[in-house]
Amino acid sequence: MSVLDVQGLSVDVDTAAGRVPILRDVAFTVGAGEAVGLVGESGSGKSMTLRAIARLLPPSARASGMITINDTPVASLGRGALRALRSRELGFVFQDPRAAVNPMHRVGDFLTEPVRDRRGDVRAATARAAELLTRIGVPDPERRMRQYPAELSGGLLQRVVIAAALMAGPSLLLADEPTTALDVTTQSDVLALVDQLRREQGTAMVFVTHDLDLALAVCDRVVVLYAGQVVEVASAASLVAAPVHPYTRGLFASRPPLDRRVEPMPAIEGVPAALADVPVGCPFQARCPIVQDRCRTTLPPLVPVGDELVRCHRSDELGGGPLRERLPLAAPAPAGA
Amino acid sequence: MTATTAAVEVVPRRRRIGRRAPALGVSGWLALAVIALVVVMALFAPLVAPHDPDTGNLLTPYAGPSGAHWLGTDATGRDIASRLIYGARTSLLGPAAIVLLSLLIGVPLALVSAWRGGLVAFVITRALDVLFAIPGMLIAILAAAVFGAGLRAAVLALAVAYLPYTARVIVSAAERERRQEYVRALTVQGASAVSISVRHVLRNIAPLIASQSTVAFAYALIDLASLSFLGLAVQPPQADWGVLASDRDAVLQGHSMQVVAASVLVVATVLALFVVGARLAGERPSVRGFLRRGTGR
Amino acid sequence: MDEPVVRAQALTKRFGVVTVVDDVSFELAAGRTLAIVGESGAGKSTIAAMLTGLAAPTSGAVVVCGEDRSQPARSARVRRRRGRQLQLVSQDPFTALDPRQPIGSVIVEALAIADRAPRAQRAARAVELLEAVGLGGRHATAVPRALSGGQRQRVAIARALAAEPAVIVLDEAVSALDVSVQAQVLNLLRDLQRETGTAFLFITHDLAVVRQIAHDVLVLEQGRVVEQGAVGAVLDAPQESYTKVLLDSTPRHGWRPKARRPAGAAAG
Repeated sequence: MSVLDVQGLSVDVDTAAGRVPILRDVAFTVGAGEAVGLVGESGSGKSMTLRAIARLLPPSARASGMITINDTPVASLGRGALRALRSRELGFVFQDPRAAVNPMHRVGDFLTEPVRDRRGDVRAATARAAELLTRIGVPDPERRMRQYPAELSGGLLQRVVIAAALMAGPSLLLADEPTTALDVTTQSDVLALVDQLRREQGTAMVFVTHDLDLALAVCDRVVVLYAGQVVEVASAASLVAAPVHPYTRGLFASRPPLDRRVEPMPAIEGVPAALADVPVGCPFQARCPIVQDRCRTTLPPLVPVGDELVRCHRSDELGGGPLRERLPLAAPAPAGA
Repeated sequence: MTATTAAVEVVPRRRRIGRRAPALGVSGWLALAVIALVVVMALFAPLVAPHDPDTGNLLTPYAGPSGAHWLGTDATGRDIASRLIYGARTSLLGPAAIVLLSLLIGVPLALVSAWRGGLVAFVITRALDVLFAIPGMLIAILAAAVFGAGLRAAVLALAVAYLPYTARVIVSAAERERRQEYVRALTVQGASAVSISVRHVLRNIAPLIASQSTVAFAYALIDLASLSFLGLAVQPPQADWGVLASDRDAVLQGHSMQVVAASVLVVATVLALFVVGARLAGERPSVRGFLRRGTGR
Repeated sequence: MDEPVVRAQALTKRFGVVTVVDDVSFELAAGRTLAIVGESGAGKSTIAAMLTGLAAPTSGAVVVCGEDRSQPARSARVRRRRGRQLQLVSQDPFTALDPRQPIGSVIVEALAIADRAPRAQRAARAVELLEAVGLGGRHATAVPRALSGGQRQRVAIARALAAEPAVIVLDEAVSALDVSVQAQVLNLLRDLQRETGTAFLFITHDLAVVRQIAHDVLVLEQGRVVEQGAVGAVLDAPQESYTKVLLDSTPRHGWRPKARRPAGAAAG
C-alpha cells in the first residue's frame, strides 16, 4: 500500500485573462517511509503539486485527477474528515517559518496546540515536543518552548516547525523548499536529522526543491518537473549515475561545480517555461539541443527507460543508445573520478 | 558574443495569476455613467437646463411636475430641474477645489516625509495626527464663525481638514516605494532625491492617489452639501444641492420633490464615486464585498 | 595600474553593542573578481552597504579608485561621481527595477545620471548595452513586469555597466535565479569582465559559484575574516575549520547532509 498515490493530476487556474493551465497529468507514488523529491525551476508547478495533495489550492484553481492518501481519496473528503486527515496523517513544512508560526503564541503552545484542541494529554505532548526538539537539534528545549517565535533565529524556528510537523507521527511529510531560506550549514544539519527521525518513525516525505543536488542527497526517488509536466522519474541512484532526459542532463551540466572552474559553463538555452507558454508538443521543445519536428507537434508519452520513466520522443536513443555520447550536455564527472 | 547572447529569446508575456488591469464590471460602468451624467450637467448647464435657474414666476409657485417643469417649481416659481442642473456646478466645484488643495499640500509633504524620515517625518506625522484629531466639520464651523459663512471659507477649512486623510495614505505608500531596491540602486548611481521622488516614487503611487482622491471627492461632496444644508457654506439663493436639500418649508407644506431630488443626486453621485474609487484601487466587483466592507472613515 | 580599485582597511561597523563587521581588510585589483563568502549574520551585506555609501563605517577606511569613502556622500554631485566609480547589482531581480519603467528608459536614465554619453547618443548606447547583456533592442520598450528574473538581472547589469564603473558590487546577484539561468548569467559576467576590464566584488553564500566566478575569496564568519586567498588555494586546501564546514555543507554531486553532532546528544 502506498502512502500517497497521485494519478493524472491536472490543475488550471481561473484568471481575468482566462483559464491558465498550470499542471498536466502529473503522476507518481510514495511508498511507506520513502522520500520522493519534486524538482523543478520556475513554472514547473512543483509547489502547486504539493498544495494539490493537501487540498490547499487557491480558490480560483480547478484540479482534476485522483489523489489518494493511505487509500483514502482526498478530493471527496468533507471538511471534518479533511481536517482529521491533515492533523493525523500529514505534516507540513513550508519555506518561511515565520509565516507558519503565530508570533503571539509561545513556541511550546504552538507545538502542543493540536493536542490541546482534541483535549489530549498535554503533559505527555509537552514531553514529546521537548524530546523532538532535542532530536532535531534545538538545545535547551524547555527554555525555547517558553520563548516567543521572534526570539528564535530563522534556523531554529524552522527546526521547531519540523518538530511540530512530526509531533503526531504522520505517515507523510510535505515539505516545500524547507531549507532554502537557511544557511548551508544549518541546512545540512537539519536535513540529516530529519532523515534520521523519518527513518525511525517510518514517515514518508515529498520534498519540493529547485536544487537537484539536494534532492538527490535527501530523497530515494526524484520526479523532475518541467512546465507543469513530469519529464523524468527515477531513483536517486539512477539519476546520479546517468540522467536521461535532455532537461535533467542540462540541469546537471549547468550546476556550477565546486571542485573546478569550468569555462564556459554549459547552459541550457532560453528561459524556464510555464505550461501556459507551451500549448502543443513537448514542453522542452524551445530549449532542447536534440529537438525534432515531431517534438513540436506531439506530446511524448512517459515511457520506461531502464528502471526510469522518461518523457522524450528520443528516449530509446538516449538510454544507452548512440545519442548518449553525442548529447552536448551531460553530468560532469567529479574531479579525479 | 558568446553562446548566451544567441540563447535568449523573446519571452512570451508572463501571465501572472490574478488581475492586471482594474475590471470595472457592470457596477463600475453604471457608476461611470452616473458620474458622466453629472459632469455633463455641470459643464453644459446653460444648454441642458430648460429654464433660467434664478428667475421665478410668482404666479406658479409649488407647481407639480409637468411638461414645462419636469420636477415642478419651488416657492418662488423657479424651475426645480434647472436649479438642480445648475446646482451641479457648485456641488462639483467645491469638492474638486478641496481635493486639489489637499493634494497640492499633502503630496509634497508626504514625499518629503517619506524621503527624509527621521525628525522631519516625525514632525510632519505628528502635525497631521493633531489635524486628524479635530473633526473636519468642526473646523469648517469654526471657519464659518470666524470668517463668515461662504463657499471660500468652507472650501479652505475642509481642504485643511482633509489633509491628514490624503497625506497619511500617501506617506505609507511612498515609504514603501522608498524602501524598494530600485530606489536604493538609483541613489547609489547618484540620482537626486527630487528626481527619484517625482519620476519614480510618485509615478508608482499615482494610481493610489487617483483612487484616494475619488473617494475623498465623495466625502467632500457630502461634507460641503451638509455645510450648505446648515447654511454655513453656499448661501441661498445660490442653486446648490445642499442648499436645495435644505428647503424645510417646502417639505412642511407637502412639496418634497425638490428636497428628495437634491438628496438623490447627492447620494447617487457619492455612491458612484465610491464604486469607481474602489475599482481604481483594484477591488473586484462584488456586491457581497461592498456590503461587508462598509465605508467607515 | 598598481593602485587597487578597492581597498578596505580595518573596516568595522558597530550597531550599538553589536559588532557586525569586525576589522575586515581586503584589496581588489582592476579586472579581477573578489568573492566575499559567509552565511547570514556574517556582515557581507553591511560591507556592500559601506562600499556603496549607504552606510558609514564605525572605524577603518574604505577607498575606491583612490578616493576615501568613509564619509557618506553629502550631495548628489558626489554620489554621481562615486557612481561612475562603483555600481551595485543587488539580489532581488523583482524589486531592483522600477516596475513601470521601460528598460530602455532605465538605461538611458543611468547614462544621463553618470553622464557617460551626450544626450543625442544615449538611445543608441542604451541599445548597445542591452545587446551586450544578451537582450535585444526590441526589449527596450518592455516593462520589467513582462520580463523573467534572469532578464531583469541582465537589465540591472546593463544599468550598472552604463556608468562605466571601475568596480561592480554584486550582492547575491545570482542567488534568486533558476539554476539554468544562473549559468547563463555567470558566463555573461565572465565575458563582460574580459571585455570591459571591470572589477567585480561578488558577495555570495554559494561556494560553487565562487569557484566559477572569482579569482580571490574572503571567508567571513560573524563579521570577522576567517580565511582569505586565491580561490584555488582556499577551496582546495582550506586551513580553517569554518571554511571546511562550509565546503562540507555545500550540496554537490555525490554529497550527503551531515549532522553537526549526533541527534540527542545536546545539552540537557
